[in-house]
Amino acid sequence: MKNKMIFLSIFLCLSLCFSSSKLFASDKIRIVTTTSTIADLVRQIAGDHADIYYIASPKRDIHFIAPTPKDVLKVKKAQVFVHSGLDLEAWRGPLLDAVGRTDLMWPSGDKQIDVSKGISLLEVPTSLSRSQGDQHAYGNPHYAMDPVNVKIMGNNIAEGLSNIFPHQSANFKKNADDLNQKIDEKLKGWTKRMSPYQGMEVVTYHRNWSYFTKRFGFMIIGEVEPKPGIPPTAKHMASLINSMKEKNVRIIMTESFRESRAPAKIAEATGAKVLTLAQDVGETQEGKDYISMMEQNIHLLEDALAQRKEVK
Amino acid sequence: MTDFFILMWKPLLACLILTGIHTYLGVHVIERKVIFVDLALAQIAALGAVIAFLFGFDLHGQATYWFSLTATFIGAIIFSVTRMRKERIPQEAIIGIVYAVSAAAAILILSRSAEGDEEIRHMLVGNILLVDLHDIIKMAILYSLIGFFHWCFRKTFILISTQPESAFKQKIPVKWWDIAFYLSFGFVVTSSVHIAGVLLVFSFLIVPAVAAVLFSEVLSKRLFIGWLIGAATSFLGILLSYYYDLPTGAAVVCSFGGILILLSFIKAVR
Repeated sequence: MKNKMIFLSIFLCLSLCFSSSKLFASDKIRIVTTTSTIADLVRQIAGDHADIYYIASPKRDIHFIAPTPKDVLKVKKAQVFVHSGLDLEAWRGPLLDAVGRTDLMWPSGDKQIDVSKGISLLEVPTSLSRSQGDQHAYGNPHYAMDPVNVKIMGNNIAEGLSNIFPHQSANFKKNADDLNQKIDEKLKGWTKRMSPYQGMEVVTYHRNWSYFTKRFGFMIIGEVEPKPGIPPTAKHMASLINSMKEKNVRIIMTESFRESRAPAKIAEATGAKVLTLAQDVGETQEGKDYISMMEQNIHLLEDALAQRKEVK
Repeated sequence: MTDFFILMWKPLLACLILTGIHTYLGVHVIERKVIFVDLALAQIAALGAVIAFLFGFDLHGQATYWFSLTATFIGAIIFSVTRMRKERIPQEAIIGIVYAVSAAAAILILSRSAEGDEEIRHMLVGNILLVDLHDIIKMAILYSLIGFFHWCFRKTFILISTQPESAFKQKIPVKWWDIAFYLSFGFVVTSSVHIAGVLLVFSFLIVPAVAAVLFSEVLSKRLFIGWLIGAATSFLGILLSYYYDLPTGAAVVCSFGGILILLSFIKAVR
């Protein structure tokens, strides 16, 4: 009996402590996105008309997010769900199953926006054998690292929102055009600043940078991890170090949430520099929106490459 | 509060089903002093899945399930064969070895295959918050069948767990019953881990049973106390998870820890 009393008092305390908080501001469009980058683009296109919530913290590996009750509730109450499509967010399927709203499910739901529509994907597997892993069954999903793709993402968001809220479509379209223009302007500068390094060979930790390097004309000659998720083996590191020395590779690109020991070791052996670049908006202090995040990435690269030139 | 039930009834129901079977198995596990056997069996099942993966089967497919089950069966045989009548090597040692070797073997195999590491991690992590109704129904049916099987042969199962020596004397084929025990146990653990993750399953197995040991010597009473504690703690953990927006599985596990401390305290004061 004593136990029961204790449980009862715990529950009483708990129910006194809690007050239900308001989840969304009432008069705005409730939009949930998977990543902070998509949330930033939605913010730029929907403007003040939207209350936006994103699920994945930009400081975590997007593949390994465990949604919390609040995430489920937010999605349940969302009017629009915006996501990367493909299989970047491996947790998206189970999350939507738990939410149980077919109108948010990819690909046929009418309240979901897949921002990847119309983007030409890299590294699309030629055979869909599951033995080759199913993480990237549709192709490399890290397409937002190419600003040109971000323009397409913006247009997809504007189009999707217009379908759901037709009376605001002119506004969405205008904002998407503005975003396109801003990116075009910025991209000119970035391309110019990176042009002296065209054809430069680099090493990355994971295949996050394929779109970025393609845009700016770099060549990836290898990855720090031999296979996604598998820690670098001694043999793999040795061969990577050899080919880096041979080709005089000066840059190792990685992300803030990865382990830093293997890249540091490789950098020490080769004299290359490890650059931690931002993948998503909000991952670093400087990257408050997509353009400032990219600006920072380009700046870091430029800086590192200029230093290297002086050393040489 | 309605939001709470709309959102959390599935995880709560899953937790109650898990409490039902795992508290019962936990009582056995504590009597047998094989505390970590569930971790070892879950890891063996994951190894089975990895091997299926290596042969090119779909990780969520039927073939992989059978590979897992076969691996669990082999594990059950290992654990029943290594239970000596006169124990020279503690069985926990064997369990530890099986756990470490099967975990390492999975890493070795994966290093030879392409991607898939993430999927294997999913097999051992699970997410009780996102459990779907289909899984819950499947789990309820499977666990009822296993529960029924154990209930039919309850006398023998209890005897070989609590007094193996007298079972040997009565010429009961202890090894075969051990295989039956570990096999049904493996069945349960493999499916539970997939849904709730290793940590949560371990807590469901051990904590209610341990708490019950504090308060009673009688097996049936222990079972009843265990169920009560398991159900109440599940509810508490899920409530905490909801109101403080915590990862659900971890919130339930820590609630188990907290409740156990509280109960030990009560026991000590009394």
